[in-house]
Amino acid sequence: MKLKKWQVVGFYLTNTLLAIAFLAPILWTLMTSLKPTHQILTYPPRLLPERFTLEHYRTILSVNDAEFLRYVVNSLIVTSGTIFVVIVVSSLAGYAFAYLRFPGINVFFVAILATMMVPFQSLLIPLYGFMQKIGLLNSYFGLVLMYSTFQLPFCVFMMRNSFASLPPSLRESALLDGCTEAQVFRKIYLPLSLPGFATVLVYSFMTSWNEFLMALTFNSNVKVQTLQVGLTNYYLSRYRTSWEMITTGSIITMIPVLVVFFVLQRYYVRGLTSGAVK
Amino acid sequence: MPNLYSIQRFFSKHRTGMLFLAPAVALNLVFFIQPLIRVIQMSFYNWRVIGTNKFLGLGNYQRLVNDPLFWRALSNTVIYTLVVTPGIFLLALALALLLNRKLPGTNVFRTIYFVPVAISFVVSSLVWLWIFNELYGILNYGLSSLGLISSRISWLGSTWMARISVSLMVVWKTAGFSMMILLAGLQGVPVQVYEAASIDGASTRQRFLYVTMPMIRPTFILALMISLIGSFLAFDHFHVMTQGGPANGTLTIVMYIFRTGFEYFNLGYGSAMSIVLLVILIVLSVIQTRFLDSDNVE
Repeated sequence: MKLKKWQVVGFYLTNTLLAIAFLAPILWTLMTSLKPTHQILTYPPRLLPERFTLEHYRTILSVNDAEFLRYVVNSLIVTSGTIFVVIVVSSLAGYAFAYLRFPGINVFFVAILATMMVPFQSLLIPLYGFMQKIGLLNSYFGLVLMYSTFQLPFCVFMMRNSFASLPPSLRESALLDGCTEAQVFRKIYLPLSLPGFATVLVYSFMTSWNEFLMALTFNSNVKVQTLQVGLTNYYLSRYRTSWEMITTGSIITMIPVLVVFFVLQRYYVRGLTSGAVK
Repeated sequence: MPNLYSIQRFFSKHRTGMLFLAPAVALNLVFFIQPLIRVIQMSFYNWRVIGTNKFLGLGNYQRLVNDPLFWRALSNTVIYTLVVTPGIFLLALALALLLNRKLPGTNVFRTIYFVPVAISFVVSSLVWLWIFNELYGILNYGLSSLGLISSRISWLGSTWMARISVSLMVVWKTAGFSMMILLAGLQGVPVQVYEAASIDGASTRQRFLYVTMPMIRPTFILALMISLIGSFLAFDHFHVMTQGGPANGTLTIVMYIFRTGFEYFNLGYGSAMSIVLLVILIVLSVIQTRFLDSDNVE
């Protein structure tokens, strides 16, 4: 179908306006965070700062014994821990579901996929008691284990499909040549499934970094609080009207996900839409 | 008859497979199946933090039926879902149809519409709280300088305004996600079908209604159900933007569960609420699978 000239012009015009509308809230936040304090609470608001300053970034990273920095570190620890566990566990399970089938294995497959249907929100109360009992409340490890459990269905599914799309003959001939199953998995199938890993990595990164409710429930101690919770508390209690702190904190919190998203968006989007088209 | 020997043989034969599966199954059992069973059990008890638990039978559920705040939270959640889902869906559909062309730059726009999806609900809420700020917010300023409003609007001040404002933020944040799913569906429609329809004299509108729509029905339902389920579980943005107020007008179910469990420490009662939430969500998921399955059969 050939487009007429006015249609092409209309396409770019509409999209440009929409793009501005979509980016405006983020740009506005960024501008606020770069303004000197006295230019923030003004009416009419000024769109651009009179002079750009990084003072709020310095302040937020050093205030209260660099408490905000600790949130950043906590989030990094929990996120990278989860990514590690999820990648190892889901690739092992994905490989088993793709090649190492045994009678009754479908029960496990269903049990893992059922996690997708049951919202973790409905398990918060029993999970809290359990985490308390095993001493994993207010710990990085506890959050990592729970994040991993609830990220597993998507990742196992992803890895299973990723392995299953490779030719099974690779495995068969390697086994005939005397490789063990672990070697086949590690030396042949893992290196060939890098796109699948990339999808799992981006998904796990975004989900863990952005997660709020579990972090709020299970890690209430300031020492192990994640960025999302810390930032929320800044707004709800301490810095309610200090918009320079809130916008600066928001920008710092969104930078890592935006970077990962821009670098690996191909894999992220493919992962998200993989269920949409059969 | 299975005897010890055959069980042993089964295990040794499939040992590798079981070892590969073990970590995933262990996590699933400990952090999913176990709390799932426990929440069912707890919902029948007056469950105490310390001391003995008292069996109540259906007591918690009876209390639930007579709790006006529970019905309030349930209806708030349903209202919010009914407001936000069409918003997300219509914008996402418009964006998907707009971008379903082979013109240079399409990918750039697609990426831009998707950017808010990558940002957390917490950050999106804070970003929009600043925009919605009554005194210094850019939205009130923009609208009044365009002459659209004569006095400042309190965007989160009344129940309905708060619902609409939060929904506006969510539409901005999630439309790109649904758009991506719809686009994937649209691009799965073979070009030949459109061409055949054009040759037969179908207008653009007819092509959309009779070719595009039926062919992407499964994708439609998927996108719709995902935003429906997501809205039902809303917590983060209400916690940050409204804290359930004004006057519990935006208290959602998950919020009420959270309060009941972790602020009032009514663990059994909160568990009964969790069960209701769980049942609603499972029903939604089953409806979704039914729809998708029936589409595959056709």
